[in-house]
Amino acid sequence: MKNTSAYIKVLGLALVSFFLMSSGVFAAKAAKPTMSPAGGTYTGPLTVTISCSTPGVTIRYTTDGVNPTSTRGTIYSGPIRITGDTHILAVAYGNGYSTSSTANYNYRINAATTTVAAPAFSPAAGTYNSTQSVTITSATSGATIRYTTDGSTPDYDTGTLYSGAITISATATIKAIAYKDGMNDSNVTTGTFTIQTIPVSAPVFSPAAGTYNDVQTVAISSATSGATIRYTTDGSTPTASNGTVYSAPIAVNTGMTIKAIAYKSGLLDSSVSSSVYVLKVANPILTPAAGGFDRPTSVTISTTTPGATIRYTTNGTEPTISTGTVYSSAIPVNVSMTIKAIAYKTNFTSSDVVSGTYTLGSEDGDGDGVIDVEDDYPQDATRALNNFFPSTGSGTVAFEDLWPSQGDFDLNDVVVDFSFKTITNASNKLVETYATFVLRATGAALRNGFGFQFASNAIPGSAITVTGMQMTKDYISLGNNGLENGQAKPTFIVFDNAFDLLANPGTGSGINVTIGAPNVEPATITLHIVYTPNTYDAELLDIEHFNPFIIVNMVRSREVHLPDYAPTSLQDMSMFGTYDDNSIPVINRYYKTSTNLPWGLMTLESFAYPAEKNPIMDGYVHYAEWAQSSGQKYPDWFKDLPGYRNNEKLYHK
Amino acid sequence: MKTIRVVLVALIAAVAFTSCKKEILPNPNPQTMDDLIVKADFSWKTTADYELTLQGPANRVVSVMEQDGTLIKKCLVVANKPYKMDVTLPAYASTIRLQYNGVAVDLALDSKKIVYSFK
Repeated sequence: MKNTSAYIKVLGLALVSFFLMSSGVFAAKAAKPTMSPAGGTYTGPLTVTISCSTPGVTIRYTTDGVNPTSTRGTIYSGPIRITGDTHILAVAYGNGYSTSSTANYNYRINAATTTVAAPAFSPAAGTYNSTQSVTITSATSGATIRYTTDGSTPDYDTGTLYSGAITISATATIKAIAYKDGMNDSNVTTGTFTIQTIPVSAPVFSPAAGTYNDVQTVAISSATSGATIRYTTDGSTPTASNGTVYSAPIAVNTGMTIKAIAYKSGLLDSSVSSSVYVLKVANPILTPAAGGFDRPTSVTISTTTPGATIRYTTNGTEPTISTGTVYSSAIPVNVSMTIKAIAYKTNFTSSDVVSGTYTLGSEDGDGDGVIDVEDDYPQDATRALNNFFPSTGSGTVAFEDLWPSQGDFDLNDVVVDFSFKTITNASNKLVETYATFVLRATGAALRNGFGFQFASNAIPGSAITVTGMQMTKDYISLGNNGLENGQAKPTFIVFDNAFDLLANPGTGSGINVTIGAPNVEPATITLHIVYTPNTYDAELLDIEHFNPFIIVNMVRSREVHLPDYAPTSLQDMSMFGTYDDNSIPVINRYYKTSTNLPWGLMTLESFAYPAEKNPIMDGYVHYAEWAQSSGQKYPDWFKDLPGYRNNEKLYHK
Repeated sequence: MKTIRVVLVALIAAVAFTSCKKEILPNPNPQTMDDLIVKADFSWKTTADYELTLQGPANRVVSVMEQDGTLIKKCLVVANKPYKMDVTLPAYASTIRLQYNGVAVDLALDSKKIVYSFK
């Protein structure tokens, strides 16, 4: 019984102890906080840190002289910066510990007499052409730096703590401050870093560089509005501070190279453009043209270059600017002779020497009825005369290939130069045609073919054989004579896949349509067309109205022709009138949009086609006027004449 | 009589409305291809076609050239017999040159049909 009573006493004491401990009455006390540096007299500002050796406790402090408790005072979260006399009281509590004794630190702060050196930027604030890595330093050893890039002013509490170089990739203003205990804060340093990444458009010359037969007036422009242009003509490189400021077109009275640069505040300077002008006297023209004559004639010599002098010889020697007879009047041709002529002018390159042989006689060696002096094939009775379309040189056909959807009108999805040389006999009957095509560009992603059709079947397919086609795929059906099968009129497929003729250079969009991308050598294909001998009159050929077309993406039933040129027999007629196409076959309206826009163009001279994504009217100043006037205004809109072209919109190497 | 009057009035009105039909004017400041106002019958051709009828006193070759002397076509003209040929030139061409037995002549392209006899 005695033992039982003792047990009950011990158990009771344990329960009471447990209750008191858990209620905090008997909780261990947190250690008293300490501050660093210790209280005392300092030169301000001063940074004070508070710590407690008891782990996990919370510290509260006051600076108003009233004791902090577990519910009163500021919870300590980091060093306290004081700039004047300050009395700091602090306690620690929590984490199972009761509130500590109060720490009591008194600081007397004397005003600082020195100031932290203001931050400096490296590189210095200014205008740059690329991303900058900016470092910030203060000459005061041990100073801390804060900065902002949002326009706000940094101080001890705000802004980003500087820890390493700042990357500035776009124009920005950096504000920075430096501070250190015992010293006044630095002034705020402000620096604006202007990063220029957009260049001024490079100057463009009009007329473009080239060889001209007369003096030129060259205008220089930049597509960047408000840009200033400087230029040189002495070979030196212009800069924003070197060269003549452009104010009016430049007179080019002699061969020269013009270099120009454009610049504007807030933008990168343009690249330097260079344009070489060669002034060369136009070649002499002999009239009538050299050839055979059965009676005496007289030959005049002229040049289109005003003020040029012409010298000539008839003895076979080459005339120069100092030898030969100065031309003054028509040269009588009473015997067969060769006339050689040159034209020259001060400050101009002399013309080429032009030679013309004039043969008098009436012999007909091959007996075909055309005398030898007029016969292009004097020893071949089956051939007599050469005919050309276009006249000696090449024309161009250029197509868009998204038909029946409207394209971007850069007319460079397929660009082909063409020339036909047709040989006739002495009876003006067809012998043969050499049809030469030069694939210059394909701006397309589609694999397109190209062909043409005669305007009529006046010469039936059975009377024709053709060779020389470039066929690499198997979607075209050709007959034994080389013509395409299934056609109502003679139809020739020149090539069936442009991509097999022009290899993509690896950069740029398409081939030979992106300025600056490597240029690919154009592909030349010559068809040899032979007609049943001595049967068909030359005029039946009507090659002037040949009907060129492309075959889109190797789908034989999808053709694109020039506007109002009929499709071939293999076109899918159900496609007309779909999407943007507004063809109306019953009235022979073909390949036009509802606003009458075309998918193709033909010129009788080699056409400078637009660069990729540049609509044709952006490259040719008078194209719109020509189109809207139904061809009445500017019928020569495509020529390279002053003020006719925006060369930067046209493809060039 | 009344019916005739009604018909006449209707006809006059129709004529009046027809004559008032507005001509579509070109866009003076087109910015894009879609801004262009193009007549439905515009062929977009940069070329012009001509028919030549040539004749000469002897069997000789006629050369047809552009105005700068560049050769286009040749044909043998039989004495005193007209020979027809078609020629297609750039639309801006204003003259054509013919050469026959040492004589060159420049003819204005002021007609689609040109007839010329060499002496």
